Amino acid sequence: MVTRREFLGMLGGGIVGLAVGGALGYTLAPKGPSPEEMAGKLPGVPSEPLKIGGMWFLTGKFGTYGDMAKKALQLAVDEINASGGILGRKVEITLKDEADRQNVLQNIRKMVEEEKAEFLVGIDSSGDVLKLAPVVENDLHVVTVITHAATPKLTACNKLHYVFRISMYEEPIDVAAAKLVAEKFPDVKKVASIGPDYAYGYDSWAIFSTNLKKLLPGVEMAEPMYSKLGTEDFSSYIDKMLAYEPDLVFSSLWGGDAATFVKQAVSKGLFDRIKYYLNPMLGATDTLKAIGDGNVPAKAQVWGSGRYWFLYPPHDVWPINKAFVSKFKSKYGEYPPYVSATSYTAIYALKAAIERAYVMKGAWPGQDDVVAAMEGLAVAGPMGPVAIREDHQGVYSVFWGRLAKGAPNYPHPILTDIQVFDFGEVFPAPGQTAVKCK
Amino acid sequence: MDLGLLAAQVFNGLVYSSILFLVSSGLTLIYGIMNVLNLAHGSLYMLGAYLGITVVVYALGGTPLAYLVAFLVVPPAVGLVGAALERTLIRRTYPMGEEYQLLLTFGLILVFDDLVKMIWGAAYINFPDPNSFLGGLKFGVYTLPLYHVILIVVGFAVFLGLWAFFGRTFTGKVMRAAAMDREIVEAMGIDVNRVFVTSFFLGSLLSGLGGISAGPLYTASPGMGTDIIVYSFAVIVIGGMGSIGGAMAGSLIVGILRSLAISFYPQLEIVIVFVIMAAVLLIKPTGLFGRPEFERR
Repeated sequence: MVTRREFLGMLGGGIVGLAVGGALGYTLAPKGPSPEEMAGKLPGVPSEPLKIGGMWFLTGKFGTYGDMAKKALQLAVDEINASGGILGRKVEITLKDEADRQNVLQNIRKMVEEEKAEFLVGIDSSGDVLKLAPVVENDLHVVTVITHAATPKLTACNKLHYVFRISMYEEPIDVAAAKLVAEKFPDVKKVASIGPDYAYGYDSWAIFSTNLKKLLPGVEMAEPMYSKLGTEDFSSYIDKMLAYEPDLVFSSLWGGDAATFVKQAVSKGLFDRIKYYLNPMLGATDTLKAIGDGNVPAKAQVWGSGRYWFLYPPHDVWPINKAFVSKFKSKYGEYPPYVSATSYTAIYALKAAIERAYVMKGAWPGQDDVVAAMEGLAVAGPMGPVAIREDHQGVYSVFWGRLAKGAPNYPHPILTDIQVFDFGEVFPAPGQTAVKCK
Repeated sequence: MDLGLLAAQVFNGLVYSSILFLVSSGLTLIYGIMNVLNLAHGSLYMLGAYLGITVVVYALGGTPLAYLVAFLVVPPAVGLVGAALERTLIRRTYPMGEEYQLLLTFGLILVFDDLVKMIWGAAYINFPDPNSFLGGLKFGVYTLPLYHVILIVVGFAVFLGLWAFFGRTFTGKVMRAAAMDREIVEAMGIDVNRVFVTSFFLGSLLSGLGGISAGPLYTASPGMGTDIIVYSFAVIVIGGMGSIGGAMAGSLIVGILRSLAISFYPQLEIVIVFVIMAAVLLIKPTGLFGRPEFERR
């Protein structure tokens, strides 16, 4: 674990800065020529716009994720087009709705084959990403950057060529959770848990509990509980937890479920009877808004993590985050959620890889040239420097923070006392995972 | 078996039963009188929750008084929406048959979900919990939040109210009569259209009351009406379609068994409701209270 102070020191020492120095340019660059002025100026670059296809849940119960992604894409594309596009090509986005459940693969194919999208970004659901990867790899052959779906299986159990994942996945966060408990709360004796009743909930508990058992062998654990997605009433789960009298509760509930659970647990007195509550998905502004300052427990410590947190890395040491947050806030009136940060970074990762491949090749790069340029690429995203590993997984530091009221500075609760876990400590080696591949 | 936990789970079950009863009694009432199965009944529940948030949080700043105002204002408002739907859209399907009603009311679910998204946004919204000022009763390691106790009381009070309404008042008796034989009621000089719009108003009001009751416990999101409508169908099939007493019995069975299952046999949580439904259909296809108040010919 790295404390905030040490992390600042690392940044100051330039250890990380070295890796990403080049990519920093984009936020500092002055306004360049417009794509129209640039068009055709660079040898070998086509003059027509560059189309990127995106898929997220745009409608339905999870439509809020598509909304976050769209906002970030607009921001990135506006910025890029205002300074000459990608090598002079104007960037255009075409979107399809992942909530159209029967047609996920057909719609992806349609974007590539009919709408001529040259690259793909997005995908919220882990199930979809596992179905999609073989189609992209064997058939469509377009570079695809995943921005949300978090199953370890995507990068750990598949040999990927065209598919990359820029966003944090669940395993490092859950490994870090076990480390957090072992290092900060070694007094824990009994652990209860709840998670959503599908692969993610089971995987998350398996990763956390196996790691915690190694670090604190004496800990007793209750039979894990699982609730179906969209459960409205958690009272019965909460009372079952109370009967077990745990001192720590681990919850992998997410979105509205995570907020509903906290609210009901407050009124059922759970947080008066436990010491710690950990949720790897709590660091999401949509969830925090739904929890509200009024439900921040006074007694128990509530800790959360996520793929990105808008106050981390601290704005004074990571100006890219500061710039992203302030641009997002002034354009949309809210602090950027994690899907916004990962989607924004995906576009800049593609831009960096295309530019790198162009320089290497001297002509507009093909898909395999972009793949070669993506491998080993480092992008400076709002979440810090992201390095793309040989298994096509983006790696960056994991944070855990303690829930606190946002008032008077923020309109929703925030995470404070940020604990940083360097990626070397918490990412399994390429090809490894605590989850069974088959 | 842990008796404290058992008692706590029965209490939790009663709270859920109470919300289920509010919604399913409205559904069964409209079905019983008009033979209309309103799939969008859950959307009216959602509307109740969202209107509740609007009144409590946005208009009145979350004070205890705001909840009281919301409980008085929101259900009739939702009732009026339901009545308006009956007048403008649903009545057009009466000559056309049930499949058109199902198509129309299913379409309405999508319309309501999108309307909610346009007005309140796609993100889930926190409805502040009145337990924060009401508190709760301690019972061993458990807490019985006072608002939950109030909900149980409201559920049973509404049940008694409906029972008295249909058994004792003229309007209630006319509604039952209209359900049994529409032509005779018309021949006696009673405007049956008014009876229909009244029953839609009342049924929708109950769903709106369910929404405003449940809202403070849950988190409001577009599509929140889907779950409750599925369970409500199970409730009225178990209890007997068109029977208010059946809706109460079905709600109690579904609410309490679901709660006990979570604690003692978690694998059964979802399936148990539908197993009971299937068993009832096999043994007594008309439901437990097979002789509905609104028996039809």
